[in-house]
Amino acid sequence: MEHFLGFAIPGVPYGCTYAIVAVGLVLTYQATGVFNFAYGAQAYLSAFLFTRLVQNEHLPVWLAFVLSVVVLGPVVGVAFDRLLFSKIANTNTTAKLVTGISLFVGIPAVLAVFFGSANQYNSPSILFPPDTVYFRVAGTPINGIYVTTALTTVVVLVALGLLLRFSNLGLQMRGSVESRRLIELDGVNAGRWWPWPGPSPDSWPPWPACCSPPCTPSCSSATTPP
Amino acid sequence: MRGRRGNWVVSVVSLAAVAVVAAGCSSSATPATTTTTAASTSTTSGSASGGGGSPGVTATQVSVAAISTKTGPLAGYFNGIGPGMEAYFDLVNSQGGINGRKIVLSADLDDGGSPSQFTQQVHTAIDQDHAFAVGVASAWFTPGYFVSTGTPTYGYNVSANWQTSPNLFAAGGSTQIYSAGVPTMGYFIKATKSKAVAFISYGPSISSSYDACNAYATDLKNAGYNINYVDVGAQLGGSYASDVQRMQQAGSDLVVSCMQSSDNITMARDIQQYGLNIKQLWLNGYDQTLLNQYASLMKGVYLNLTGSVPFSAATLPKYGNTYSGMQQYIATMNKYEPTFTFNGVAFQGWQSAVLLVAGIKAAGNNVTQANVIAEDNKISNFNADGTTAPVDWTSAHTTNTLPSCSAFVQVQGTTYVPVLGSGKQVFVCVNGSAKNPTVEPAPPGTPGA
Repeated sequence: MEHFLGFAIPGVPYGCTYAIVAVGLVLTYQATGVFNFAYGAQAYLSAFLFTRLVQNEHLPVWLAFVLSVVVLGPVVGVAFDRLLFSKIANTNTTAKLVTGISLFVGIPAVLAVFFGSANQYNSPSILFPPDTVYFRVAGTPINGIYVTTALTTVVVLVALGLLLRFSNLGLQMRGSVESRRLIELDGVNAGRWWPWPGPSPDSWPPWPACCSPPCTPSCSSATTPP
Repeated sequence: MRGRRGNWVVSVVSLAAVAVVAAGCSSSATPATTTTTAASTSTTSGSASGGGGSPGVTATQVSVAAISTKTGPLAGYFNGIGPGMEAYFDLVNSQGGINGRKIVLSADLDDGGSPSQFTQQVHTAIDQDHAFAVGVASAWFTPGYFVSTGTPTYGYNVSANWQTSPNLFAAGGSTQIYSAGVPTMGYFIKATKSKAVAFISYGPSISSSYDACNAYATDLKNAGYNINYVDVGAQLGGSYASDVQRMQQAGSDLVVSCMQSSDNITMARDIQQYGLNIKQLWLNGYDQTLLNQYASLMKGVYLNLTGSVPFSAATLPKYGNTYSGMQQYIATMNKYEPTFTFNGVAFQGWQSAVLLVAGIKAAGNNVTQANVIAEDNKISNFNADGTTAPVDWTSAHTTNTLPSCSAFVQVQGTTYVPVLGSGKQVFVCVNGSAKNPTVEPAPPGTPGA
């Protein structure tokens, strides 16, 4: 058993990252009808800028996180929603696919134009340092990556669950996902709440990127989850 | 009537617009290149006019292009070749150029990490920009069009396909015969008193990684070394915790990695946190920026620089001015391209530029592609102005230059310190077999000899 856990536990940070990614992708698709192929690219954008703000601009980690995730994420999400996804929600599949793929390819390319193509090493952790081992489970050293990723995942998913279940806004979000037309018949503006920051689907991608940092120590488009 | 006149006007305007666009597209992007030959005006990849002319050469300038992966996956690893070449050209030009001509990097193109884009940029460089020579650092290098046009081509041998033609000059030699490096690897294993060796690389889809480690592991095992763990299918950007655990279980005391530097860091972190007492030899990672950020994880790591003089040999007091060529490289890069001074591929760009300029200089007033290629192929002990072990270009397109001279460094603090050499000589020159590697005196022309 210990042998098995020794190989299974290192997969936990990846599992947490993909859990957040999955939630965001499903929410986005259910709500807008558009499968956001640019999800990873949006996450990469925030992670890249987060790393750059800390290393090049020497901002505190917490401030860089706020700017790149809490501010930039929703701004990009609103922009994409208002300028792109909302306009193609009722178009053909090809348009939706091409739009997402274009963003997937274009976002990293545009970043390279402005910031160069050199990899960003040593992406900082937002909570616990990756080089510190806090305890061991079945012989596996649990370092800052594991703790940060797991803790962030739990907090984010719990917060989202509470929002969806116990808040008026969450009720409207659930209604809109369930049936946009029906909820609009009830007088709710289904498009109104999407720009809200935080758990709005289009602002979701930065969270897994910046809250699950250096599984690999370099921030490059090659290591962004799809 | 009015409608027909209106249509007539639209048609004329449209035709005129098409003509203007066509004229614009057919003009060269580099205004300095005015000399063309039959080879350079060819636009079909299948043409084999053989080159040998003087595209990109004017009375005052020789135009050179570079193609590298500057964006996309693996970006950041290959983008130094242009700056390295340009710095050397700037040095040469500051001294008056070659026979009155300045050497100019007129195009520094990006293949975006895509094979199709690489092909496109090859045609851009040769057909559109009429480059006299091209520097290349890309995993997608294909020699075909460079060979058919006879374009002198220099660069970083990642793709193991540079040995096909005498106009392809990869830094350090155009062959990628890994078995030739096995005696050196055997020497390193014995010198570090390692008893059980592990190898880790990416899978066959990343051939530059897979081919090297697979060849080393196989040949060393056949030579009787204890190779007790081999993973030649590791994931790019993945987790190596399971590999580290398996090395621990197998009892490896040396791991040779053919992975990229960021993944080596991930592996090093796992090695440290699992408490594995193991020496590490990285074939990638010779990067001061990396070391500055990860010194604690890289402590004690060895790197094989193959035939290059270590950067630190130019600055460590122990070596004085023995490696003046490297001192010149560092000073020039710091002056013209300071962000790339300690970039390994930029250094290969420098070596490439030195060889190109040597050929141009030897060609005298008859600067043609064929002449430059011929002159370069006459050099039997090319050491890139004292920065590399000698390369015999009379045979380096088909065989390795022997003995095989490598410089090993070890991370000590925040410095890559040359190790295993003797006195002020950083190179270890090994011949013989993998089973019985023998150290030989450095051949003439070796820096530090």
